[in-house]
Amino acid sequence: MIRGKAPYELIEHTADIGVVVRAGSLPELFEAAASAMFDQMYDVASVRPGELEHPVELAEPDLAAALAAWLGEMLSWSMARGAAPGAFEVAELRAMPRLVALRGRVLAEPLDPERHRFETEIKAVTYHGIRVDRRGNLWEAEVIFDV
Amino acid sequence: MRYEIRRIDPWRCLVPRQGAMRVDGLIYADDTLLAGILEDRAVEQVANVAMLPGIVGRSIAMPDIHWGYGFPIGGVAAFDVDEGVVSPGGVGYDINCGVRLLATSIEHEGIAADLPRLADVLFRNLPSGVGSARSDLRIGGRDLDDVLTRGARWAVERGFGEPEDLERLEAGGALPGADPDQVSERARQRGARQLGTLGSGNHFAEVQVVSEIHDERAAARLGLAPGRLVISIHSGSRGLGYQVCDDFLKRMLRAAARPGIDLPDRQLCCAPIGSDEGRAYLGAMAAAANFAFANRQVMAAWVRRSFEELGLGPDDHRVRTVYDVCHNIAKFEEHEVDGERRRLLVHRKGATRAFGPGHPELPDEYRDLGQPVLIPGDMGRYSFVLLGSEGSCEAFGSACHGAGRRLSRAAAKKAARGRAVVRELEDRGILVRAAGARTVLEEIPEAYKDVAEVVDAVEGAGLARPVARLRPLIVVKG
Repeated sequence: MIRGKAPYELIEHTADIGVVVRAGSLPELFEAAASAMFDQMYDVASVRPGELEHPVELAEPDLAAALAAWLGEMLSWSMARGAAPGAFEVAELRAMPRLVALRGRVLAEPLDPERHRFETEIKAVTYHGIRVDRRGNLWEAEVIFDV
Repeated sequence: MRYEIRRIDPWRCLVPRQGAMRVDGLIYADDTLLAGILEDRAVEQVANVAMLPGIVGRSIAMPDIHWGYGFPIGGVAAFDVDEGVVSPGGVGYDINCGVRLLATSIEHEGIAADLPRLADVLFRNLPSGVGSARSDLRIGGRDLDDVLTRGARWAVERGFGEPEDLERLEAGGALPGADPDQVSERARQRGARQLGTLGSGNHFAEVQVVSEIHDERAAARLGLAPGRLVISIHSGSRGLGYQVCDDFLKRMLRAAARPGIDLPDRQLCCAPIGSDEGRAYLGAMAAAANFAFANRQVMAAWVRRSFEELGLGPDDHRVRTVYDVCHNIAKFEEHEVDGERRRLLVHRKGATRAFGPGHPELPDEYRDLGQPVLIPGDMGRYSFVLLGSEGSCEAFGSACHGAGRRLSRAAAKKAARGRAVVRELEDRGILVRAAGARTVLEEIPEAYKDVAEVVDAVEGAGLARPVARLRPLIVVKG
């Protein structure tokens, strides 16, 4: 589980925001991507997660689609619920040919725009140029958000 | 891949059909704008759109085009209703993001001393920022279905604005064919408390002064007089629309392995217009578009109320809707292609409808003028009001939608580092009220192209002609 901030790089995109994350395993990569996404919206380290919890279970045809679905589900739940996620856990991620299954959860607290220092609303996770691939010893993911 | 580009005239460039493109691309830009356009991947995206099945005419790019996701921002693409596709990415996440312009009878000179108070009142009455919500207007269930079906009319019937407002909204403030059953529960939850809110990013409400008139007769017909205040509202369908787009992208990606549809970018995923997914998306998109029309209608009513809170009665402010345009939408329209009248599905993503004079879809009072086209610039310089020209036929009745970003958000923040941006703007007579400090940095004026250059290109190409220039006085941002 990742609590708070994980390291990420910002991508230059004319209109929107993109991030690149790296990790030693796929579950860690997905957790880091979630932390990086919410860190664009507010200071993810300022969240005291626990009061709210949302389970995420999904099955998608490939890793990129699974990443988009994992991030998209957390974003959409948090906006509908008025929640500020601050901890991310991928308990299980099975990557098979033509099927990626993921089970995880997100821990959050009710949104407090002042304390969490809210800044930019992310409208959605885009599929534009989204990728998840192996680079040497690490997994790397790139994703662009519509802001 | 680098695409060949050929200049046709000072305002047009052709991207000739090459590779898997089914039609040519057409970019409206002079040499200066083109140089900026070539700096990112927008041309590649124009070419990618030209590869989609059933595309008719050309894949078109407006002078404010920039790199988007899937479709470029500033793109227009029309599809044959029988053989073509509909693409949620070709509309964008913020379905029916658009602009409403309100004219007033208030002279700038007379109200200058009250502007700080007006700024505070507007900032309170038009909730902005991340997840902004209204505590005084929570809707759900059947009420929300009504909003999704009836659009701005729902708001007028609830006391938000006047019936005559509706005549001056694109499509009368409600797209036909809305199907609320296609709007997911999650989308409804995201929209429930967001009707009447601005949102964040590049959304805004601005109080502006009419600073220059390019066509006196037309300006007078639109109710625009030099030195008078006007208000522009730029917002869309909020979380409800974002979720509709996301839901259908997912659904269409799952069904993407269709014969004859080979996607160069997942974000271009689409479905035949007549397929189950295509029809369902169009029903949900129209519902989200109607939510956006209602959203801008509610905020326009709050602008009126804000003036009244300052002690100005209806006879003092005379707030009147000039027009309301959509710039992220797909619509069924009739256009002439190679001498033949055809019914097409026109996607405008970051492009504004700009029908010329005489078009039957225009309100009676504007029909002889052409359609008002509302083009916001950046928060430090100016915005424009244009009228659609006959020449817009070449672009399926479209023109640009704004200035277009020049700097990425990260580059804009870097350029703003160490500067007191709000103070700088205040020194230039522009009061900023913003929910987030970072938004202001990302939206600094120099992050955008000079919208006057974009408008010159639109006029040069014969798509629309300028009527008035507006200078910002108050900027409310997310």
